[in-house]
Amino acid sequence: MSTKGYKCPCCGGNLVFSSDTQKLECPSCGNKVSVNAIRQYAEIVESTDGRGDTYEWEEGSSENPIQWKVKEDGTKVYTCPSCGGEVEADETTVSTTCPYCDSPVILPEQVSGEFKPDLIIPFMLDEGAAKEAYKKFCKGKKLLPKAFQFENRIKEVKGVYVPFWLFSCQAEGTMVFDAQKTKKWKDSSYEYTRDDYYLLYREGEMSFEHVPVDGSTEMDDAYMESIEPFDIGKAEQFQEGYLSGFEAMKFDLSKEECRGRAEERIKKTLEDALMKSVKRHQYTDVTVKSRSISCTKGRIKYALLPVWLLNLKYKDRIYHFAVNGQTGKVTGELPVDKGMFCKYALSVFAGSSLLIYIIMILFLL
Amino acid sequence: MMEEGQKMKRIRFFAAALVCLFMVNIMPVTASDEVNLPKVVDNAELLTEEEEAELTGLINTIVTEYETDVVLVTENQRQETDIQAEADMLFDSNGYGIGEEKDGVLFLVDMGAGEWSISTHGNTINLLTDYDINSLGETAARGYFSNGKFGAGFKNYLESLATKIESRKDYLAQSQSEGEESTDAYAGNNQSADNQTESSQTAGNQTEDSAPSDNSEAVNKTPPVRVETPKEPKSPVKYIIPALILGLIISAVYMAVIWLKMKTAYKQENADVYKCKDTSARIRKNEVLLTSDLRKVPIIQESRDTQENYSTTRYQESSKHQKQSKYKESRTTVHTSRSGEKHGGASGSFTQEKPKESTTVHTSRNGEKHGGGSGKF
Repeated sequence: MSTKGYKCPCCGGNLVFSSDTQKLECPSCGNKVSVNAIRQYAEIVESTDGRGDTYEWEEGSSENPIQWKVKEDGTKVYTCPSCGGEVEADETTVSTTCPYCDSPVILPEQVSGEFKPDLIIPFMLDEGAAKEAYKKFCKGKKLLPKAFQFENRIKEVKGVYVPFWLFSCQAEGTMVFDAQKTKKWKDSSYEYTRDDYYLLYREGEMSFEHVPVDGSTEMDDAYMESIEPFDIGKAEQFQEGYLSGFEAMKFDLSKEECRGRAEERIKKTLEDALMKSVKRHQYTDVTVKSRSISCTKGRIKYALLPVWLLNLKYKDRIYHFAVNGQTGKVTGELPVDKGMFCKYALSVFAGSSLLIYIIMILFLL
Repeated sequence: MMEEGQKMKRIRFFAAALVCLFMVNIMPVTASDEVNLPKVVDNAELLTEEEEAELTGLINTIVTEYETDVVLVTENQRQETDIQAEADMLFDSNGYGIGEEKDGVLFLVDMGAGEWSISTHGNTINLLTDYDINSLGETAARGYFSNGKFGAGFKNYLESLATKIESRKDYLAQSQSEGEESTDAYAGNNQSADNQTESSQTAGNQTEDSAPSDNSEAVNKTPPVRVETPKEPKSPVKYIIPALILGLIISAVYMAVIWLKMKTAYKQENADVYKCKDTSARIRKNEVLLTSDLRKVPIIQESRDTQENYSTTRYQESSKHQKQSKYKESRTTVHTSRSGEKHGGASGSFTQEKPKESTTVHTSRNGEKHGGGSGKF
């Protein structure tokens, strides 16, 4: 399998996608090239490179045509297009960086054919902005250990294009409820109770656009759903150039495997809307008798969505955080300082008890 | 000499004025001294001397035990046209009543018109309900007076009166201890009634305590000493545990909230944010009434008088009265006499039945408020 690295047309430096300018930038000479321009440039260069010189040499004397090999542990080894170093990658890697020369390495075969994404949301936040979003996330967390908060414990920050399946459909649903109204009144002789039994029928339809489901087993679904929503309206048609400088993965969960989760969420939203249309305060009791949902005009797209992953080490444990590369929304699990917890609990308990006691003395005594 | 004479006149004038002023201040006190007033005024000469003595003894016992003045009056011709006004007037103008509120009850029998009337005053208004007063008056009038048994009638009246006051005071003491007394009467009378109950109990206790050493001192003990007894539920110590429990709940909720904020990685429940905003959900509704079930349960409703023109005090009747379900809950109606005093009371004739559930309030000629009963016999 071949590898690809975008080079600066001026100085030959490695081009990296910039989230600020939404262009490929050369860190060496500062040259900026649009994604479309570099694609055309690469195509021309590759076509001319393909023709090359026509010296007739004996086959087999050139480089080994197999550019990747599989190690015993299952990881694949690629050749860096810049330095020729061995770049290890797993089955789903689409884009990575060379550990020797830090050059971006894109594996075009991983995003071609059935693996070619329909859409991509380019990174809108750079690494600094992602760190800033994380710091903001930590602010105001009273139980967070101070050592965790102030020390530079961020061990790894990487921008990753995560594969998502986007499900769009027209959902139609029906729900039937058993409802009961009870009315009580009395006159001078009797106390009356009247129970009216109703059958409530609700039918509705709703359109959904681009419900995302994480298509990677490596990514935690809870983390990926927590950093939603992604604004798919700002997605671009996929081009390999957006991957340069970031890691990217291809899906390893098929759309058939992921559609269940999308259907679950769509069903919940539609059912909530149908149930909300029943004015429960008008009835003494409402129970669901039956329900059914059907989705039509279903469309599925494959997209790479930007996520910053931060790994922090604290007391021999790695804490993972994910930042939405488009909106900056952060999710994760922060450690709890037990001493701080006890201190706060006692303070709140003592303070609230004293305040309540004073209020009781003032108003009840 | 002339000037000295004028000075002396002036001094005498001022001295006389001071004496008058002093007398004015003293007069009501003297008048209110119930010890000097006759409790049995038999102007119609219906009672023998022995009966008068016996009734006076009974009255003194009630006065001592319950600190409520009790007066019996008979007459052949009354001054007021209305017998209730006459009873109120007799109570007010003669200065009957014990204590600051002039607690007392006067039973008037008018032989000329064949009517009777009972007038209550002060805290006694709350001790005797309309039903009680009517019951007392009607029992004496129909059971005894109509047969000419006035002595026995008054004796029966006094015994029943003592029983009713006793049961009412027991009820008030119980309600106060349970803190469940429901009062919708005007606050002043109720408060004074409660105070009276407390002071009566206190006085009663004191009487019991001092009885072994000096009975006469206990008997002559007037007026009642009001003792403010601290109420246990209002002790600040009692609020500590509830405050701690509430504090614990608040701190548990608060800590749970900030603990949960430490973890934000949760799965989404729905796909609300991915609904197409331009095409809102179209929901069709249908509601079908399947069946209706009507049940009716017979109820026994207690009769209640709901007149709102009078302030009332509701309470549970004593066990004796509970036999008559109609009077399980009763009330005391208050009226103002011409002298501006508040009275309870009822009246009736010896032959005519009066409504038992309410008390008519009226004002006596001197402006005192009275309730009462009168009747013919």
